[in-house]
Amino acid sequence: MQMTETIFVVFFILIIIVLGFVAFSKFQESAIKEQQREYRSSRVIEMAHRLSSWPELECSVAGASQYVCLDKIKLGILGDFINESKQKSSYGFNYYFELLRDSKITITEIYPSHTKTIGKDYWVLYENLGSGQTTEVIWIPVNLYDPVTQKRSLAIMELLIYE
Amino acid sequence: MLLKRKKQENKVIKNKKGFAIQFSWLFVLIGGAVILAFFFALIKDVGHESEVESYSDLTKELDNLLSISSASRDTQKTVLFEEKINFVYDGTSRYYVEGSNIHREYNYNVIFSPFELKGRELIIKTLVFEAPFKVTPVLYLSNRDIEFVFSGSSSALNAVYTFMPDNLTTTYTDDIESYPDDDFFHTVFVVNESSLLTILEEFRKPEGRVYAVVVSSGSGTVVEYGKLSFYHYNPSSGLFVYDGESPFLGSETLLGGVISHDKNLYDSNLKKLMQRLELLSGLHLERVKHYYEHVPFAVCKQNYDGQPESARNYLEDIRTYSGEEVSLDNFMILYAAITDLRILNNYLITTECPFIY
Repeated sequence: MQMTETIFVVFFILIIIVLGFVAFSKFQESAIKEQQREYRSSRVIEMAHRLSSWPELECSVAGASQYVCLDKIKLGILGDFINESKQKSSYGFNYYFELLRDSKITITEIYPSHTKTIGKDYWVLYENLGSGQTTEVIWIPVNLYDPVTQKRSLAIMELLIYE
Repeated sequence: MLLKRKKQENKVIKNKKGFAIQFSWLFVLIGGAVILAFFFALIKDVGHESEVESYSDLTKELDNLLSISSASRDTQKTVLFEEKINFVYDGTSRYYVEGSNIHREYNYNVIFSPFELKGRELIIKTLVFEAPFKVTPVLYLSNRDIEFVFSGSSSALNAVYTFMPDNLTTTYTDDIESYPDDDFFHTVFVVNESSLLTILEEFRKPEGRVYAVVVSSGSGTVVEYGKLSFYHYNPSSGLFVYDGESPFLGSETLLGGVISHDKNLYDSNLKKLMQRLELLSGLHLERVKHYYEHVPFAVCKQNYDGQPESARNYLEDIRTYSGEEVSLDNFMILYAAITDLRILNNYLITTECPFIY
C-alpha cells in the first residue's frame, strides 16, 4: 500500500515536471518567433536603405551620389542583368543573392507616369521566390532620375522578403 | 492452535512489511537519482547553450560592426573587442571568433585584415574603391597591437603612410637591424627595397609575429599601380623568407596589402575586387550603349561610342582586364583605361551630354 502510494507520488511529480517543460518550450518558441520577426524587419529596412546607395543604382554626378535617388537607366540594366545571370547561375546572380536572398524588389513610378509598364515606369529589379509565404513587406518612396531627359520622378520601392 | 496460527500470520506480515519498506526505499532512491540526473543534464545543457549564445552574440556584434562600416564611406571607428578574431581563406573567405564554432563567410565583401587579430580594440577604416566609378566599399581591420614600421623612402611608401588608419601604431626607422622588440602581437616592416630587410638583432621571440611588405611602384613616381612582395621572418635562419608577390591597383589595394601582410588573404580580396569591377564595368558599358542609342546629340554619341577612343573602348578594356588573371601588366592597362575614362567623364561634365558615371 505504501509502495503503491510512493509510486503514484513519483509518477505525479514526473508528470508535473514534464508539463512544466512543455510550457517552458512553448514560451521559448513564441519568444524565438518574435525575435525572428524583429530580425526580418530590421533586415528589410537595412536592405532598403543600402539599395539606394548601390553604385549600380544610385544617381551620381562624377562620383558624388544623391541620397535615396535611383537612376532609371541603371534600374532597367541591372534588372535585366540579374535576370540573365540567374538563368546562367553565374557570379552576378550569386553576388546579389548573397545580399538579397529570397525576396522580390520592384520599383513603381507613381508621378508623373503611372501606367505600370515594364521598362518604362515599372521595374522588377530582383525576384527570387522562396518556398515559404511572404512574411515582410516594406514600401519606401524614392526619387528617380533619367539622365537622358534630365527629368525626375517619384516612385515607390517595394521589398518583399520570403521565408 | 489459533495462537500459533496468529503468531505465524504476524511473522509473515512483519516479513512482508520489512520487505515493502526496503523496496520502497530502493524505489525512492532510484527515482531520486533519476530526477537528480535529469536536472544535472539540464544544467549542463543550459551552461553549454549560454556559452554558444555568448559566442553567437560576439559573432553577431562583429557582423553588425562590419555591416555598418560597409555602409559608411571614408570613415574610421575604434570599438572595444577583446576576443581574438581569425580570418581564413581556403577557397572560401571566413572569419570567426576564436573558440567559437560559428564561422561567417564573406565571399563578396572586401575586408583587408591580418589572418589573426588580437587585442583590446578593433580599428575599422572604410574607403571606397573607385575605378574611376564607385565599385565597392573596402574595409580595413587592424588594432594598436600590430606595429607598422616604415623604412626607406619612395612616393608609394609615402602614399601608404598617408592612408594608414589613424591611431594605429606606426613608426619610422633607418635601421631595421637594431630595431627594438616591444613585444607587439605582430610587427610589420614596410619598405621600398628588399635589401633593407636584414637580420633582427633585438627581437627575442619573433616566431609567427614578424612580417614584411616591400612596396614597388609600377613605373617612375606613379603610385596607382605596382607590386607588393610579402615576407615572413624565420628566426632560425635570421632571414626574411619570401612568400610571393602580387600587384596592386590604386591606393586602396596598396593599403590593403600592408594591413593584411598576408599574400593569401590579400589575393582573395583582390580577386573579389576585380570580379566586382568586371561586373560594374559591364553595367556601365550597357548604360553607355543606351546613351548612344537615345541621346540625340551627335557630339555626345562620339564620346560614347566613337573612334578611335570613346567611353565604350575604355569600359571594354576595364571589363576585359579586370576579368583576366591578376598581373602587373594587366593592371598597367587597367590604370590607363581608368585614367582615360575619368578624363572623358570630367570633360562631359562641362557639356550637355549625360555623364558616364
